[in-house]
Amino acid sequence: MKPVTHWRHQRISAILLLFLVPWLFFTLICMPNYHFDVLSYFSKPSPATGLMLLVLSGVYHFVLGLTMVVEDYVLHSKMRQIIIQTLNAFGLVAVVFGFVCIVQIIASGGRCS
Amino acid sequence: MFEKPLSPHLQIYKPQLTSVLSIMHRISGVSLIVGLLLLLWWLYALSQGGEAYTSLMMFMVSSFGTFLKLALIFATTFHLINGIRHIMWDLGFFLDVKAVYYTGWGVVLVATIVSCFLWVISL
Repeated sequence: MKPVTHWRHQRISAILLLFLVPWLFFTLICMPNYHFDVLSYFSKPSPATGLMLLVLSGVYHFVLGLTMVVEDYVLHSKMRQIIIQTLNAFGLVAVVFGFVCIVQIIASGGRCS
Repeated sequence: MFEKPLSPHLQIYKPQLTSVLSIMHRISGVSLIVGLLLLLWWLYALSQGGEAYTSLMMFMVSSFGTFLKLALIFATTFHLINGIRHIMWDLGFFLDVKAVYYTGWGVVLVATIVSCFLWVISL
């Protein structure tokens, strides 16, 4: 990835998170903890979209940021590349896992099994 | 892979508000891996329900879970508010030395107040 692309994607994901993170915090704080209430809310299209965007932009922002930190502090270049590749793999798995869970949440239709 | 110059060696610099906030931005950002894993655990628990959901709720009210929750609230709040300061710089605002300190103390103040507020309502 070109440094300027890294820079731009870091900012775009940051701006998404600026809205999504407070949204999730306040939604959870204002809501009863019961499985039924939380599931029926997040299985609706708009909240589920918010969750998908949150997982995607959150994981991406984290991977980009940690790549920057690793590039700054890990001196050994082979080691640096191995860590960054592992990080990318972690990011991919995290996004897919999160999406699979969200799809199941949507598919539940808000009904507890 | 592009080669970049190494960062300054932190241990030979006198700590200043600017450098402390800068490294705190990184530390809070890296520590939010815990928040990410907790988010995934929460999504898993929500999708599976039953025992999976109960064990997450049990964990969150345990003393370690409560500690994690409070720490994550602070890390998220600080990183988010200091992140706004970074975006302001990118847009070309608050770039002179005076403004950098001014907004720096602003971040400390606002992050403390918001964290305390969230701590109280989340307990």
